[in-house]
Amino acid sequence: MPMDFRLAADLTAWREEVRAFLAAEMAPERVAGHADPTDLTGVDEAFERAHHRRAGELGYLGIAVPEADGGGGRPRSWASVYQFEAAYHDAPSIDTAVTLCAPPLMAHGSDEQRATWLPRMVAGEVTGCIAYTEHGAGSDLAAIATVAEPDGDGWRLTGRKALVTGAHKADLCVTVARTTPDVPARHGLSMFLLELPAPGVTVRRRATVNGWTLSEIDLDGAPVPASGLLGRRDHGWAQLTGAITQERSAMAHLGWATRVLDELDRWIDHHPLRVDAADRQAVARLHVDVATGRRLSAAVLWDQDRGGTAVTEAAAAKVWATELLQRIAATAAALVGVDALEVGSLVGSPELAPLRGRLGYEVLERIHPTISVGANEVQRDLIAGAALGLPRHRG
Amino acid sequence: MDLSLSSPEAARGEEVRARLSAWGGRDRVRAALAADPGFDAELLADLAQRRWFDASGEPGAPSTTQLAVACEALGRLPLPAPVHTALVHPTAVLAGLGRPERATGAAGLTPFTAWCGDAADVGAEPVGAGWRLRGRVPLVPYGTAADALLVPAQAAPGLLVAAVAADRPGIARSLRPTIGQDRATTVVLDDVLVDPVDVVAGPTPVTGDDLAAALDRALVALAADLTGTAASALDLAVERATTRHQWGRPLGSFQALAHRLADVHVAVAGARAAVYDAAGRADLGLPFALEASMAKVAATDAALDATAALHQVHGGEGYYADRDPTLLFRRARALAPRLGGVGHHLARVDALRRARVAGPGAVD
Repeated sequence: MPMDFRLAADLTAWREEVRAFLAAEMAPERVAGHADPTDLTGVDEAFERAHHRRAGELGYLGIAVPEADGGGGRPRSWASVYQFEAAYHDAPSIDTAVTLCAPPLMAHGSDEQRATWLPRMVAGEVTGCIAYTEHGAGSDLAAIATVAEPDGDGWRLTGRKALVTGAHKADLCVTVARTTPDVPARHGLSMFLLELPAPGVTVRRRATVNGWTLSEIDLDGAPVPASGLLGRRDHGWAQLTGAITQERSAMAHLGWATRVLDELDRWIDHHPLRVDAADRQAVARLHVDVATGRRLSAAVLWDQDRGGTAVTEAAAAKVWATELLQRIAATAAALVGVDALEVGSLVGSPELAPLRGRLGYEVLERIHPTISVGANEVQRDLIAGAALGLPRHRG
Repeated sequence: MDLSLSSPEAARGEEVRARLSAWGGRDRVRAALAADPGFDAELLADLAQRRWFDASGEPGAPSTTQLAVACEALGRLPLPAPVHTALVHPTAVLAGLGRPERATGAAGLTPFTAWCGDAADVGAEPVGAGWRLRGRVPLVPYGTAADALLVPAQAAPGLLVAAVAADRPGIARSLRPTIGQDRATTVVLDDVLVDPVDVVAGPTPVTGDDLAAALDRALVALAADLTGTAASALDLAVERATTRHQWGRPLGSFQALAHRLADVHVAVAGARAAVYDAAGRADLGLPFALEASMAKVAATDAALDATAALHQVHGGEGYYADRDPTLLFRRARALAPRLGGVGHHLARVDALRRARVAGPGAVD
């Protein structure tokens, strides 16, 4: 058989169902009154939690979680297809507890931890966040300084976590701290499950460039029971860097990219005199690049569905998709002109602005995806080493 | 979804690579480029006889995927020979415009019929039962060695495609030096008489779109060739970055260079996926014109970038004419404008996308 990039028939059919659900969920009359530009999702917490429960009831959130853990047991590509559609429809079910916290839980959690958390995550009953980064430990995650001091059977965590998405509304936080001091950086880290809110935990929200907040989490002797250790003590580094813990896929980025281009196409149809042949070529190039991005993601899904980790393919797809989002925002803003400066939000945006202010939002929003979830420089290092076999560098 | 290459397709790749490997490596490429006619006619005849580059889609011809795999091998060497000009394009045009019987036979049209379609500006006026051709076709690869020319000409009602012997009165050929070193020949047609028997298609109802559609399989083949060149350039660049030391360490251990090559890797992966998506769709009987144009864009970008990076990595020594980088650099640039450059295909993508209704988020 020739190479075939099309999705399987059952996945295609499920996707139609998902699209109908998401379109209904995010219908303007439904979302009206729930706009919250201080949250990354653009909607308030009540709306998000209700949406998670509805999506959970339909089995969408945990579609690729094993059936033994209460999930749908489908291949990982199904979850990625959901991510694409959620992004396309601006639905607040991209950063779910399943997406953020289930991978390390499934890879390293005890039977009891899995039983405690996974079914509730799959049902959309809990929210989550991951708190690894610190002021001194971004791309250099081994420089983590938060400590976990033994306290009876459990620990007390002290330190400060930075740039945490969704901490203000999370029920569970997956974090990492140093359990053994005075050893090389990568040998004394452990992962923990921290229920929120909790004593000794202070979440401080800070506005980002685009109006939504990231949080800093102050840990002042925050207690964690023995059952809160995730995986093996002092094996946190290996657990963190294991490919299996990387769940966010480029498919969400491609969903946003496709949505913005569809909106841009509509704007072009309504403003034909503003667009010349060179502009059309530039937009066509963005469409070609989105198609390339989809194929690069397909390579990841293809490998993952057969049990592979597709590490370099995922790195390639992430670099491509995140930089494409920047090109789309820049090209579209240049095309639309002064009007593109107006900033809307994902929901409840100004009706009179071009694309309802989406381009202003996109220009400011797409600054961070090339930095977050593995900065693109780090992804390129990974490609250079693992795909090309180039020697490790030091500068 | 199935992203594996089947056995017959992979096997074709191995066959072609083995045949080219038996012919020679880059030293033989340089020798062929240096001596007239600029290619190995025996090898061309052998490749023609095997029908590996027959783009007709007729029984006995390769699938589009097999054609792509074969052309990727050409681009890797890169093989200096009129494979596209004499084999791929003519067979595609003739089969696509409804004259497959003219496309069968060892070379499509034997001995060497050159497709004269790129940037052709030729008009046809009726004369008696036939036609009179007037115009110019710039830079036909290996045009001086061609025995016959397959020329698309604009007649009043539509396109005419005629096959004329290269020594017919009125045809003047002049060899021009080009980046591609492919003995490119500008052909001027001055009142060249064409009999009805010479006409292989048109003028009614052949349109420019019909011709473009007929050439879509050839477009995928060209994109595959460019992808092979890009991939080969990346391999050579990585090899150089690994073995060349300065300041006591390999060049590839410097991050800026490693990142440049990582970007080339991503571009090559994207180009190859685009080529085999288009080829796969053709073989599955799905519309593939849009994907063929996207493949040409992606493969051209990848090849131009990879070969530029190859020179950058090879430093001063790589700038000598007898070193490998120039072979791949020239190949990428020689193929970039063929069957339409990036700008042309972006415009085509724009037009075809609007025509094809695709749902949002369609990963298909």
